[in-house]
Amino acid sequence: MKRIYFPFLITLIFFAPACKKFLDKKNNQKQVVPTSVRDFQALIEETRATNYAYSFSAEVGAGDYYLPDATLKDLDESTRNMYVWNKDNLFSGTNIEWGNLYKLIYKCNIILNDIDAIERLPGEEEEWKAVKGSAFFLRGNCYSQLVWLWSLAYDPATAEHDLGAALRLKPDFNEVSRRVSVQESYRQIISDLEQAAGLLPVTSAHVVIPSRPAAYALLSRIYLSMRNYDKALVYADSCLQMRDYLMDYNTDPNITPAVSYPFKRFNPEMLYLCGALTTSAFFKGIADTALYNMYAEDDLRKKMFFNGNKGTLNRFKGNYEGNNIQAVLFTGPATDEMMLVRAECLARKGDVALALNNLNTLLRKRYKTGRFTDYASLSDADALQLILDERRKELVFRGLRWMDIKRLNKEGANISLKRMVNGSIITLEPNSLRYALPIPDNVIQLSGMQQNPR
Amino acid sequence: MRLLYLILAGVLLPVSIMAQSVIKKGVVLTPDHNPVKGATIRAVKKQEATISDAYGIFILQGISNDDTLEVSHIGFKTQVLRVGDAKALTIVLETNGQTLEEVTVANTGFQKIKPNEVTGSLTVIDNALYNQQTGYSVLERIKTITNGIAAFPSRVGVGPASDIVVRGISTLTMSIQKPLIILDDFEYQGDLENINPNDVENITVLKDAAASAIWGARAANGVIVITTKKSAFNRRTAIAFNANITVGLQPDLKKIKEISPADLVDLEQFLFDQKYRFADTAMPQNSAFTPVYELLFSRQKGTITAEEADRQLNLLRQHDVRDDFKKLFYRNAVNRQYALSVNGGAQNVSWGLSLGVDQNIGNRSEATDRYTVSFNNIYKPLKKLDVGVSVLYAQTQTNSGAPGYGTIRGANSALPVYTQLVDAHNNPLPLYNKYRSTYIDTLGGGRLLDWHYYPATDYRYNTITQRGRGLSAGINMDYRLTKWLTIKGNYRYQVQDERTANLYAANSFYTRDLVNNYTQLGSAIKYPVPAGDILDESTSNTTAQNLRGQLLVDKRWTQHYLSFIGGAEISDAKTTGRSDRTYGYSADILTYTSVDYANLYPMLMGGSSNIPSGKSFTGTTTRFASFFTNGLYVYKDKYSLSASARRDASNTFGVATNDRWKPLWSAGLAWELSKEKFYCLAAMPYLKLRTSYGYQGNVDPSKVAVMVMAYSGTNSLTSRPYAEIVNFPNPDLRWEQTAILNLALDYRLAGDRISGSIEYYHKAITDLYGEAPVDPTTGTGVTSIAKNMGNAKGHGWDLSVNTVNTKGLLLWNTRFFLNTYKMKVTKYRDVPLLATSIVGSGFTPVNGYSPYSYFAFAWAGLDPQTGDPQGYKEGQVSKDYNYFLNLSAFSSLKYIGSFIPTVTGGLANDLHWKNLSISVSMNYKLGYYVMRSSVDYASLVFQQTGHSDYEKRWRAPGDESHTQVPSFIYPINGQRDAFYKSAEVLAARGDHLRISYINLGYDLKKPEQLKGIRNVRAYVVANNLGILWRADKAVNDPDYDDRSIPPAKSISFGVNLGF
Repeated sequence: MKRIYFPFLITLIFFAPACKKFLDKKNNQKQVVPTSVRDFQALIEETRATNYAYSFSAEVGAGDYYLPDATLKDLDESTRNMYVWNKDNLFSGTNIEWGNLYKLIYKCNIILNDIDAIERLPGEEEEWKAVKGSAFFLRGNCYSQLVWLWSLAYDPATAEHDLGAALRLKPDFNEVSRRVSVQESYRQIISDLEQAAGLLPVTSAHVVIPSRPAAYALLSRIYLSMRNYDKALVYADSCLQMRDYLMDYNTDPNITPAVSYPFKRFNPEMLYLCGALTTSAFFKGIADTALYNMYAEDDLRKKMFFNGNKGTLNRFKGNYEGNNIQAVLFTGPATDEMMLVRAECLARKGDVALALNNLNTLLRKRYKTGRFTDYASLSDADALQLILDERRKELVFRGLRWMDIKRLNKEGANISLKRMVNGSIITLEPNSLRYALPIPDNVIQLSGMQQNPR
Repeated sequence: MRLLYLILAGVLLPVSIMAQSVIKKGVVLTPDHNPVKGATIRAVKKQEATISDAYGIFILQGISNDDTLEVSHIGFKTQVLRVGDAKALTIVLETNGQTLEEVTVANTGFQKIKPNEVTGSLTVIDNALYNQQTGYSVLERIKTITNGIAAFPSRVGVGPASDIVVRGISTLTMSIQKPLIILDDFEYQGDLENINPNDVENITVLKDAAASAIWGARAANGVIVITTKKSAFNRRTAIAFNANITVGLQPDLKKIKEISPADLVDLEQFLFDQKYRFADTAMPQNSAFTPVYELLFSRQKGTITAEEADRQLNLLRQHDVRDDFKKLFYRNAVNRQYALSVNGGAQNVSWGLSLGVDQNIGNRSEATDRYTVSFNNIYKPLKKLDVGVSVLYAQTQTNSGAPGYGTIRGANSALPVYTQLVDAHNNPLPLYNKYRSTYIDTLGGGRLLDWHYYPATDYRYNTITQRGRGLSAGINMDYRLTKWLTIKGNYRYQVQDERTANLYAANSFYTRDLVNNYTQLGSAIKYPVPAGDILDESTSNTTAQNLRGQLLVDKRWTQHYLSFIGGAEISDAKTTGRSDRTYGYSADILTYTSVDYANLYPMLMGGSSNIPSGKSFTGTTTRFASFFTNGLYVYKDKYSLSASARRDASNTFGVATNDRWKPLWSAGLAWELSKEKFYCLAAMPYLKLRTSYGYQGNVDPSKVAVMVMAYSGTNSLTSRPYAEIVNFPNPDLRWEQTAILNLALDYRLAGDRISGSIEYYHKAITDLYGEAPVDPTTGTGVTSIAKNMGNAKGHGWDLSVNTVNTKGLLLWNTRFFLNTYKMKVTKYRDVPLLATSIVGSGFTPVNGYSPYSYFAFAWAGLDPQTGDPQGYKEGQVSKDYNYFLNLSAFSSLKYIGSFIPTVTGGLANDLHWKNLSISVSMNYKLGYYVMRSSVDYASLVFQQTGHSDYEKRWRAPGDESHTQVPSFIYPINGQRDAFYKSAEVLAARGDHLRISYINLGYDLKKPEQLKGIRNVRAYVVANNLGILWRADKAVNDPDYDDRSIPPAKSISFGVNLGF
């Protein structure tokens, strides 16, 4: 019988190892199967998809602007629901915020899945690291946006049970999407961003490309949102060690106060360009009066950030993305944000002097020359409150307020949001379940994942 | 060059060997002295064997006179005889009462099997049946003659990729509904038109899982195995010649349901009075008018008198453009076919060579020439080794002819039926279908090229030439390790090149129009497009390679028989293509003119545009790796058990599919009941039961399972290229899977007058391809993705009855077969079913119905006051057309029936009387509906597409009693037309019976009186003779659209000579 099997075995031996390689051949030559560093890099080179994938909905409910009743009526139902923190139907079938973030995550997953296996040409090592680091950076950033919007604030007591992101780390779309805990989500984000920081170069080709200081800034952000102030401080400091340039609003060439949108695109405070595509629910909005009144008259931000029109037309114009705010709002990390994180964390540690020192450095460049008096000798609590107020003023419409409210309420800040619609007042109580937005209905339908209780 | 040597060696070598040998010749005959083909003649001492040829003749070499011959053949008692010293042996076999049919060996592409050992379902079309028809195309003639195959009616809009359908539809992706075509051993990747039908020995159709599961993931639509003629050892040299000429009559254009010229002229006059399209006169550059409109404009302007206008209009009323087409473009088609084959074999080598020439001139003078050479040799370099080499080469060329009816467009799309293409003296007349004469006659002040279009002659300046060359070369080796164990290796290389050249001569309207359009009028006139010939060329190249290694066991004991094959195969098919355009091309001196593709040029007709470049490149590669095994065990010639399994992996499947070991398998059982001792049904001496079950697959190579991205631009900020993902790798993507259960009964009644089979099959089709909505969380950014998502079921009966009606002087046989098939979609995507998405489209998979279901709006007759079509809205008679078309639910539609035949079949009678034979083959299609065409007023007014139903339209109250054609209204209501078009009133039964062909043959008796000639046969074949019976006379031809050109009758005359 041996003789019978022999040729058969030969055939098997001949085929088996060759088979996989033989079948790896791409079917259509017009298209490319990514096989080189350049191919993978090209996947995340498209600014429109990579830098502008971010969610805008964080600003709609954050209370920094309002919509008069007449304007509200013009908006579609789901946007109106979002505006008043309704229980459900906040995302219409055409809303792509969730999809855009996951689209970017998908590309990152493809890169991270395959990039270790590709052949690296000599001299490509740095580029390879940068592409891999970028993929970690982008994935970590997307997941942080997702948990800030669609999960409750991080609370060490409940994080193991709270519903976190639908974590997808492989490009197989047949895998059913399931949500993991908040704890697991944050752990993944931190892991991604730490790996990014280890791989990315200190300076990148452009602010649309991730760099190491930007990765530190994102780590600082995520730890701040977890209220881990020690770690947030470390990473904010690490970032500022590498990049601490602040524009002087009086003199900086990137600022032209006279024009409709004073800030030039890609100003040097930006660490990485993230843009959120805005909707009419935002650019028809009017700045919250109380917020507007927080800015001192000598504070240059008052005029740079708002057009100052009385009544119904006081709108935001201080977009760091430079373009018309009807398009994209800058929500990425920047040096001013890092100064404020460092100040806040120092203040919370009790190092008020150093904290105020940081704040003063920033504010000197924000006030008219000579009109700012440094803050000094404040109590711990007063210093912290001052820093938090300045944070709100400086980082207005940067997509951070929603996350800030959530974490500050966990600290006991007791911030209630209120909307006045048709004469009645709608309130969003502190730590409400509604701080985790409902996942779009089509996602729930198609994946069967768990909806947020609201 | 090497190939040439090989051919020469193959042809010359055997001749020299034969000359040295001592030959023992013989003939094997039936009791009534007809030749027995395929009998095995074995020399017991010499251990040599051969097979008798079509004339019963065999040759054995080097046989001593004291040797013993064993002559055996299925259906006959084995005869043993001493050789003796007679020069020629005549061996008359006695029947063993089992069968009188000539046994044709079926070929599965992996092995040759005897039909009596089969557990599965297959049909063999033998050489004689195959050659009852003539024709150019290799598979055209099997469409109506085989149990289990039906031709898909071309009338149905969404049709399968191949109109040859084996046992019904098995998929919902019509682009992959095509049988797998095997040429000898491997899938045939080239153009089927490259195969010369005269090279075909027989065709085997594999219909169920047991027969075809060995072809695995591509077998679900059935497998058609074309076996070419092969040479054999120990056979005397035979020469065969076949020549025929086929005359195809002109199609009858008047059968096309067209509005009458007078009606159209009157209608246009009415529209003119309504000032329809008057606004378009303001845009002279891009709106032509019909001839009637131009006449009326001229009369209105006073450039011609009212009398002259009426005179000309009356001329148009009496003119039918179809007469012009007949006169100018149509003629009888003449196809000539010649085939010559020579083959023979010695002890250690056999050889065959055939040549074929086809010269076809079609109805529109379009020409197709084909030259084929096929060559096959088998060598026996070692006693245990056979090496076969085969080469098929084909070269084709087609040239476009005159335009067919329907291809010349008028000003508003369709050509008005009254159009005159030539004047009374046959001079070409211009047709203003793009621009108005008043405009182009004045534009450019004489500095432009003639801008008129003359359809009567333009085709002469626009010629399309296609050239194809195909080569298929194979080598196979059989090494017999022992008597019952053979190792086989097969390799085939196939290459095919095709080149299409579309030449727009400088004189063609296309070229003149393009040149003029780009002309820059100014103080210095410029021509960005040169005024020379334009050549569009596209080429495609296919290269396919197959390699197979297998092991064959073929062992017979007294009571047992075991046959087993196992092996592996890889295949690789590459297709590349490119197309290109050359301006200012000159064929004589091979020059061209460079043009500027980069810049935009203002165009005379407005706007600006780049010069079209027509460049593109394509390339695909499809690879398969497969393992297969097939076993058959027969006990006591009564019980057969078979099993097969095959596993495929492909670069079009997902990684997960390739990695998973999931073979497609089948199993079958056959029981020859009549051999049992207890069997006592004397009326039915032969009864066999067969059953099989198994899986087959169906693959869509356009659905790719690897991730592909396309570079789409450069990031302006980083100056680096960026790319987008254009295809998402679906690791789970796999073939569609069909499970077939087959139950069959083969019978033969006493007296051998009636025999046949009854088969029932059931298909369960799973994993049907479809576009599944996708969770945005997956990150693909698309709303749907190709997945395996649907299920369907189908079942049918295949019945066949063969009878011998008379024997003796007049031999009269009848072949009858009947096939039924019903399919039902059981699971598909859930979409909110609005009537509009289902109605009238012909192909819309809906759960619970056949994918080809005819749904129509319920019909409430014509409004007796207005002649408006009426339907039912919530039970009430209604004319709310918007509701019907956009709001009504699927459930409100009326299910009419199947859109495709549910019962098909054929009936053929063969009569032999003395030297004459006649075969009449008919086929029928039953149990289905067709959608009649009728007048669509929107198309009539906007595009001049008319219909003869216009005459029958409702005109006055009372008409509704004798017509169902709605009244004409103006302004047009498109929804009213659309409702009528999809209403049940236009449903008609499609059932019909037609004559497929009639073959009349005359065999010269005693051809040996003519020196060297072995047989002579003259024959006449008539094709497309038309419909004998149809259920609904309102339908011209249920297989063809009412407005398409009907197929024309043809008749062939031919002669076969054998030397």
